[in-house]
Amino acid sequence: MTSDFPQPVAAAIDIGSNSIKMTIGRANGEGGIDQLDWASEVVRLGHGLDQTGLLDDERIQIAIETLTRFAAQARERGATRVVAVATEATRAAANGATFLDRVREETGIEVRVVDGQAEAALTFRGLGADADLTDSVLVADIGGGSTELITARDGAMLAARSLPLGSGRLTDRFIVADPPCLDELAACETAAAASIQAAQPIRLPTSSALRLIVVGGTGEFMARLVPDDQHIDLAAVRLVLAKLATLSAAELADEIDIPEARARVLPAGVAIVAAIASSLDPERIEISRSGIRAGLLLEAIYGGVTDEEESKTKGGPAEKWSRKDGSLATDQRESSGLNFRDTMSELIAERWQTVLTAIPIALAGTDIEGVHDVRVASRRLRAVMDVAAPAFPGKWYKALHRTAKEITGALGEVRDRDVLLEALQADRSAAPLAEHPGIDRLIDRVERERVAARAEMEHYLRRLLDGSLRSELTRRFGVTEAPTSRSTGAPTECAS
Amino acid sequence: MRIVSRAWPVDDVDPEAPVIDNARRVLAVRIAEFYSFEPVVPHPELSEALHDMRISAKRLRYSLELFRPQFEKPGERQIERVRTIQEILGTLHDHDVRVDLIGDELSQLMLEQSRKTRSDIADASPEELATIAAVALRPPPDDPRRGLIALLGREHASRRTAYARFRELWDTYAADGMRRDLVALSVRPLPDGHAARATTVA
Repeated sequence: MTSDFPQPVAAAIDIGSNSIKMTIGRANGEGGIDQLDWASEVVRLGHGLDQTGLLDDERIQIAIETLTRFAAQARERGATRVVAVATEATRAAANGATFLDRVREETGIEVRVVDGQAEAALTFRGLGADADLTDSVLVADIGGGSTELITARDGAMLAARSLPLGSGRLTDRFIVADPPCLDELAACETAAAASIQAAQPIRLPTSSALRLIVVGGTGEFMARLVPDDQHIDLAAVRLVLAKLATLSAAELADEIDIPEARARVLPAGVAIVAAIASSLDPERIEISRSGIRAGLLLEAIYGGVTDEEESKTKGGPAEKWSRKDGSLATDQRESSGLNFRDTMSELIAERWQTVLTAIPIALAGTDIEGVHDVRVASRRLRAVMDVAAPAFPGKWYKALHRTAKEITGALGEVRDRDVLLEALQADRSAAPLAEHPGIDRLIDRVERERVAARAEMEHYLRRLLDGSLRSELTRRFGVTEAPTSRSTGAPTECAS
Repeated sequence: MRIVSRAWPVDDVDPEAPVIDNARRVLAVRIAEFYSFEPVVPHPELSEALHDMRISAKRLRYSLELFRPQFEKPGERQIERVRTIQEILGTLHDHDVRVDLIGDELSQLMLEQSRKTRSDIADASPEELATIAAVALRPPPDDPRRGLIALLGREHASRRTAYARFRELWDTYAADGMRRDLVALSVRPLPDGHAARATTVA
């Protein structure tokens, strides 16, 4: 029965790596929410984050403009509260805090950065209002930068895990062609499966009838490509993947009525669904439109987690939470059983992967930041390898550690000259004409040195990539390879 | 004497222990390593040591970032401080690199010109000597030395400014208790439910 009293209206905003989404809802008087309005904008806030470690200035600006519009829309619909959370892209970026300061100052929205555990708990709470959570379920919330996996039985959350897999992230790493090539989609699925397998075993409910519930845009949009009369299982997901390899982003956007930028990252998201389904073998796959925003609205309108919900979400043992981009275990209480060696192993794998992904861009030489990106990635890798050394006493580890140092050094000579040339060009443009011959002499010298340093760098990196490094990394840390086509930059057509 | 920039090893890392325990150990070592460069701060002439200090600051920052969730909000402020110090030391290093480069190029140029002048003098007739001497004493407007000398002067001035900024920043952070705050992070009490394990490990 609905109450006669005016019910509070709230807006919940989710700032993800791909999109910023808002749901405006009103309490329905029965402990649930009636949705009044929604909005969604593909911002790709996490674009390039793996390479730079930073949110891009242009994306930040678009995000702030989007949030300003959303705040106005929420006010118009009578929302008395606006709650917002930011997930993987913001928590992983070195300038995430600066971004949130700007959001607060320019839009008045106070954004809470949630870790994987909180994200999963909110998603699960929101899901309870919509999905059938009886028996055994595995919930996959596939975002742009991370994927949250939640296991539950009879409505009680058993465990949760955050994986550094996102549709945007895998697209940045593996997909160049438009439409995507089948081998690019296979690379996405392989990387996703490897990440699932490399993580600690996911505690599945002991039941033969496990259902996979896919939350978020990936599931919703994937379902639009499945015929109405067909139930969704792994075979159906693979058929969708095959179809996606025939549709350009523009064609896909047109066919299922989504923005083109969102269509661009959907194939990688579907590849993640395929990887989860093939790794964890659910009996069937379901789609739910509820998720973190529904959970946020429930929290905003009805308050924090109830005792009953608390007991449900704390039903399982402490689980491991690792964030691959910049930091580790988020919930200290939950992570009290965290093993340092395993966590470092995952981080090292992730950072080597970032280095390997960035090297082809540095070799292509079309962007001077490519060299810088590899250098930064190698320094970040070394920061972990320095710290983790006591956990890996073998000679093989020392050799890989030494290689990481060599990479930094090999690129240093080129990077130093790039920086010097930029500074000298700036000096020259500000200097009187009489000084130009001297500065030109210096520029000539640095350019010559740069050519030599670059040749040496290329020789070293190509030798490195052709050698046994990749197989050693796969063997020791489960690092997967990025396809070499990544280096070409702009979207291309698949080779026949 | 040069203080070597190699990363200090963290000897008591326990691979089987939780991340939080090791995070504090790593941070304690990185703080000690970074502050081992403190005696260098008042010496602007120690460019290599200041560069090593920058590398050490970078290691400290990466460790703080690596364990960001463990150090929570108090860690964010320290990351910003360390990053600011690292950046100004980076600017200082860039000036040092340019000063060395310009100085080296100037030396080479003067050596070349000196050789040429001596060769010209050796081959010159007595009438030509006066002209050669005049050119050597008063370089023509397009002599590359002009640009290099002016550039060198500007680099030295910019370096002095960068060092002054670094000192000011260092002193401000020191007065604000940066070291105290960093050390406090490395000895922060563990969250509830974690103390027993931490005590065992310690």
